[in-house]
Amino acid sequence: VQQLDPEQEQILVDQARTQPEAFRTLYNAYFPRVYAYVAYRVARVEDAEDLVSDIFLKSVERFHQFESRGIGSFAAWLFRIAHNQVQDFYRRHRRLDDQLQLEALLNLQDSAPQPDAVLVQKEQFAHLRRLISTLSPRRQEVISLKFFGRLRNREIADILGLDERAVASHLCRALEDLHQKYTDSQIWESEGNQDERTR
Amino acid sequence: MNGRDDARELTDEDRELLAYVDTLLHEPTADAAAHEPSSIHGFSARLADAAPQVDPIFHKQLGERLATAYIARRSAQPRRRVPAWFGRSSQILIATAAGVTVIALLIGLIVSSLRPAAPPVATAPTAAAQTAQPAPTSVPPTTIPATLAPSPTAAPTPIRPVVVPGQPFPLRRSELNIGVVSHLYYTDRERVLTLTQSAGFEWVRQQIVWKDVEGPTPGNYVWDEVDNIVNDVSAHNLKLLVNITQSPPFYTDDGSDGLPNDPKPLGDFIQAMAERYGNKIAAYEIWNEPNLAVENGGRVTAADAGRYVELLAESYNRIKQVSPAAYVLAGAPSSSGVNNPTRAMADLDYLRAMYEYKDGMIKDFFDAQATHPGGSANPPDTLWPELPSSAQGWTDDSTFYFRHVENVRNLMIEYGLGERQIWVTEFGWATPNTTPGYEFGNQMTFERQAEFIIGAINRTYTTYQDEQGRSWVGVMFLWNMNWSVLRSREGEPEHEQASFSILNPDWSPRPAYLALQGYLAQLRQQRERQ
Repeated sequence: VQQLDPEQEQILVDQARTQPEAFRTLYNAYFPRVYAYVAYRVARVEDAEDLVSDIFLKSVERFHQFESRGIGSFAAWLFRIAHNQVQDFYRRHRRLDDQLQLEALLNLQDSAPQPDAVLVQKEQFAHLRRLISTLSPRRQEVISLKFFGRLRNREIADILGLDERAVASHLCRALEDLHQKYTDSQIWESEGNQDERTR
Repeated sequence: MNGRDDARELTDEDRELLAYVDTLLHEPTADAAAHEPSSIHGFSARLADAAPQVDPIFHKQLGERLATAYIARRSAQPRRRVPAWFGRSSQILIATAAGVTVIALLIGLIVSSLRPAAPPVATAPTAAAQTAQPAPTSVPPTTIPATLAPSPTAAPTPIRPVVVPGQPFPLRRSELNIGVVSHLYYTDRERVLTLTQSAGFEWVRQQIVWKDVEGPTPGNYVWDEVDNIVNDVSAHNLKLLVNITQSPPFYTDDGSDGLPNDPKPLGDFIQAMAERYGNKIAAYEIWNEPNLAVENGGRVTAADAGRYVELLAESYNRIKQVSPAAYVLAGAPSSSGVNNPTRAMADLDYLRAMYEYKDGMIKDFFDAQATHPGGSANPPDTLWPELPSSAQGWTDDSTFYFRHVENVRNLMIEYGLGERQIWVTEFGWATPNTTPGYEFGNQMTFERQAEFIIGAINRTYTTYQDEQGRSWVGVMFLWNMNWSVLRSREGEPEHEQASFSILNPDWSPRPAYLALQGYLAQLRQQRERQ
């Protein structure tokens, strides 16, 4: 995922108020981050796509209401919309177990034969998502915003109403916990060994 | 489970890990993974790479939908935003030129939406676009006194906000204040207000029922007991928030006490009130829980949120003309996840409808947003779904939690309203009672009630701050002081309203009263030291 340089992003954000080309650049830069964040928060691809669509459409509708507060504020604003949409989704469905319906993810786009690398990526995604879903809801949120939304701790703190130290602490604990679970599961370890053999 | 999810102190190893993760995500280098801290070697780099598969067709189609939405948005804006000093023909020319430019750019946008993003370049905007969009800000400031707002069905002249030179907007409290909702009508008011002061509250919220003051004919105001209430609160050096609600029947289509058809009579009433009491009224909250059907004449839909905004705008202008230093609050929706026109509209949906009405016109017409977060039997640090309470029932929706106020704050920031504070004009916890629908209170004790109330205030005081360290809550009002006394007098000492009180029916203090007395004194001392 290629991220925009923060200062250039600031310029783009200002330009995007009047120039669709600048908005397109922001969309292309943020799409993979928003999609990855949402895909880790909801299980079904259809739901993820609906949510991502709603998030970006709302961002267009409300862009004129965005109050820029310097570098990083656009990311925090956009992901706050994303966070609100995901929260709304759960409020409407009222079922946390939606998060655990992983089967759909293994059949992501279509049933056509796919390259091995793509299948491995899908399996890794599903495996990792399964591990993340065992964390507390708050840590799931912190990990998703950090690694998939690629936000800085200050931005995550703003969105979740925590202080920055609490975000840092949750992040460390969640990473250690996930690392332990990942090591225990051994799945990727064995792939690593295979890689070693074929090298 | 109490849902606690405590953070820990950071060690040097933690800091090393955090610095590594930030480098990995924001300034990746070819050998980043080689320098990953040994505690989680190889894992965070793999996590950062584990992106889900994305359908490129979905990416492209969404890009096209955004382009359409962008152009629709843009084509709607120039007419509104061209300053008044432009002639009408200039506006048409500019709007046309901007439209042509945008269409040309969008053709490029759609065609190139599958290409990798071009590196951002700070190109100069075209002259046409620049002229058509002079500023990202809203209506130019004006010092023209507002004229009376037309009714929603009358001439389409938009209502303009009163702007008082030298008066900041929006008005904010510089620090968190604590108040209480009291019943001051036809009671031993001296006793209530003395107890209010003694507990350490700084504010009192009193509901003023419009239909009880105006009538039997339109324009006939009988202030009666309202005079005594306002004067007595002022004599006790307490600040007064009035919550105005319930229309006289002759102002609604169906003779109900819901929102009036026309904002003008409400404006007349509020202006008369402001002129009569001046700065003895420090703040006005317009209507109570308008997202409930019962507060809205028996039925509520998104269109009513728009009607509400018209009423708020009219009220704002009338108040500011007379009392520019008074706070004007957008009324608190009831904390509810229900969407049923005969019962309620979910509070966040109602707020969205308010904030979106006429392209966000509300932003010029309120100082702070009032909210009534729930509580049920849930501790104040819990929140659905991220940190659910272990109470029995009333736990599976965020509206049952005090921390739902954070969702309201998030929504406000989403709509560019983050500069406005939230005023929590009702919060509290029920205790055992016999009212159907409030059974959650039966899990509570008076001691727990005290613990939760202090916990909520402490959480607000210590963590509800914006990036500049300013409190984003202005005032919070505990529900309630003395309903136990009133309900007991009416033969209903176990009514739910009585169960929320911090006084017993015989006026003696409940544990919450005593706990507040101690906590608020500490809070005051802490402030004085700062």
